[in-house]
Amino acid sequence: MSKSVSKSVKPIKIVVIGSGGVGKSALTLQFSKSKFFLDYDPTIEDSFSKSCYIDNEMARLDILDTAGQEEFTSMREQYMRLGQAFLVVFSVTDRKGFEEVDSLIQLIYRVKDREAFPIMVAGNKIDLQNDRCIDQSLAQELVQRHQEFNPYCAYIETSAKTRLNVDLVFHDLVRLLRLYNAKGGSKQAKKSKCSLL
Amino acid sequence: MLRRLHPASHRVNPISEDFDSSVQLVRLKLSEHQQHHQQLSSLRAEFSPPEFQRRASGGSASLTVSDPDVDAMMADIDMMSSPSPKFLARRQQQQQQRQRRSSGADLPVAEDSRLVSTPVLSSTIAGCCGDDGALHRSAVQPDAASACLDELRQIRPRRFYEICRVNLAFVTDVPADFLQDVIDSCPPPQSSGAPMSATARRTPSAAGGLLVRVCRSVRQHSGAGQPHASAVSADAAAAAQNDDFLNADILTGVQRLIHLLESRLDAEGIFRKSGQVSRQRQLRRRLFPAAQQDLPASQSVAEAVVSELGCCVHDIAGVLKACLDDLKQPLLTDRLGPYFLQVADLNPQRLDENGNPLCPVEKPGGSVSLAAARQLRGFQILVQLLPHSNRWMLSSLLKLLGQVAELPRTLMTPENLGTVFGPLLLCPRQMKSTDDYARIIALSNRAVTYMIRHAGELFKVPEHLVIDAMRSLSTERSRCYSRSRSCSREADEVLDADADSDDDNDEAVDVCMNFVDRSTASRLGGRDYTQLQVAQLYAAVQAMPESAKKSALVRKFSAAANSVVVDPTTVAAPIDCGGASPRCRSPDGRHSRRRLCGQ
Repeated sequence: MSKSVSKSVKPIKIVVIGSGGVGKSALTLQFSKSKFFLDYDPTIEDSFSKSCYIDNEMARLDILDTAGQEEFTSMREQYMRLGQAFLVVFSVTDRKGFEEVDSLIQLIYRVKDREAFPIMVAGNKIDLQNDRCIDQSLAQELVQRHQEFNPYCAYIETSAKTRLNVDLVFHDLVRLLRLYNAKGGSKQAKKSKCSLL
Repeated sequence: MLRRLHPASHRVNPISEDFDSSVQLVRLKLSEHQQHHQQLSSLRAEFSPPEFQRRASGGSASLTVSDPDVDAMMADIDMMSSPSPKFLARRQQQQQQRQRRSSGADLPVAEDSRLVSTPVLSSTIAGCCGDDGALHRSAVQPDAASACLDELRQIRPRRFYEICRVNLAFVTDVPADFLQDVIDSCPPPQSSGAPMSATARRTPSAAGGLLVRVCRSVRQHSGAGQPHASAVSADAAAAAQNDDFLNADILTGVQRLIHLLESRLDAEGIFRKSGQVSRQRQLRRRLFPAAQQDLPASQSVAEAVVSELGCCVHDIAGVLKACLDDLKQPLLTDRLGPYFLQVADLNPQRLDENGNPLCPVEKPGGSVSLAAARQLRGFQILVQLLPHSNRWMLSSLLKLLGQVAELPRTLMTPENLGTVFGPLLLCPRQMKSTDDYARIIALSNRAVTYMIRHAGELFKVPEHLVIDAMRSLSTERSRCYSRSRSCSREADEVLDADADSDDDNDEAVDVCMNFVDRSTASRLGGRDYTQLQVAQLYAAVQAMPESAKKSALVRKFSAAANSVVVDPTTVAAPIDCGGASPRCRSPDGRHSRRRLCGQ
């Protein structure tokens, strides 16, 4: 029965973005394969799919793991246009990765031409408490600023190594997307046209 | 046609009179000349092109072939950098050479040979040996090889590109009109004898490649006559083709960034992690434009800027990547890019299930697989085809990346660095929608990974290319020589006519291909490689546990043994080696083939 359901369910396209070396692939692999890989290979582009029940409803996730390096920005707009929900990852041990979060979120708004969109911000590597340089409050503050106009934005701290909150961050993202679709966010939140026209 | 096949023997005649008496001097002169070339090449390698030009034309304005000037130049270099042992050794060697020459007194022919350009002399040897192979086997050291190629690139850019094209065609598929536009833009070879011979007499180094350029600038300054045409370098031709998108600003800036990075490499994820954008922007504004500033002083300025802005290593690495990204074309150029990808695809590495490369089975002698050798040769030729600035920048960049890859703490393996730098160095700036983006990226990553891993061999000149270059050079020199002689003696009308008819056939490219003659090789080497391998295989089969498979293999062996085993010494036909080793034969040998292209 579940098989037939999973086939009939439309896949959700989730795109994982973030600066280089923050743990996007580790997070994705931990979620889809339940493994923590110690490799240190920069990703160009990988995709995974996984089916799971979220709030008693079947969901098929197509997860696109992307490159953090600027060299691959030419591919960026392409996948941003296809993505339905975004997971923006930064590392709590890396200030520069965090600084890039805001500009990435702005980029999503711009490519999607929306002011609200399902975006999950994940502060990764919280198992490395000693090296931590981004406080939880700092990240919360950033997300709250976005929440003022984008209610479909949330922040979670994760650790791909210890599998802390890994499932939760993907599940919550799907919940946000469902909420967004249910409210007809796509039509409602469209940028208001110029009043002169 | 006959002449074409025996150019060397044809060349012996005009100079045979004084050959016997002068061959010693000629050898001496030749090695001296090569030394000059090596010094210039090392100068060239050590400084960035703008810096080199400044030093060559301004700094040591009296740079000619005479020894004191070279010494001055060496001293100059020594001052710039603390003298390396290699340098000192070379210098000592040179001094010995001078002593030897002065003790040899003024040999009778000395005056005559001064009239003739030094490079001409090498052709004397080439001609007299009657076998190009014998010459370069004795003369070609790595430095001399690249010097030789540089020289050809300067004197005869057309021929240089043609030779590269043909050699590349042996490695991978190239279209017939590959590089045709560059070749067409090169100045046609000189057709009349008079100006060349005049030039040759006026400037002893007229055909001396790099020296030409230097001499030219010096002579222009002093108002003396100016050797023309031959001095138009391949670099200039490339510039005309709009390939020269690296200006002095970028070159110096990149050099400075590399200097800054060299002391800070030991950081995890260098070149992978991104730096702070605002700091990077500031750093870039402060360090560029860079060309006007003097380098040694500005390096400390750059350090000061870095500490003032509080830049970390990732910021500097980010600026370096941004510089490479902002070039109008990728560093390996749009023209050659596709061929780099093609060559990278020649030896696809197979991966095991964990994604680790499966090593090809190493042969006992340390020889690599055929495909790998072909791939290396392809990369080497392509690197030689890059404009000089690009080649220089590539080499300093690869040196830096090699250092990064060697530091375990960075966690950046050549593969990782290749992934990051592949799109920067190789991917076309504008992709068409029809392009297979994933494939291009994967191949360019593989190409850059390969270059990082083999940076040491990458800038060596492949042997075949040197052979061909040497042959072209010796043809060129003998022509130049014969003209100068015919002018000075008012005789040898036939010779002049010969030289002219040579020009008519100028489109043809002589290319040397070497084959290994197995029977001769095994006879000379004293052991048969194949038989050794078969014996080893047989032993391995014998060691297998008893099974149906083993007995089947044993049966195959015994069947083969009855029909095939032949003693190599009995079959080997008597081959006239003429004193040369079996790998490189004289042009009339059976194993060397001349190919005529473009006819």
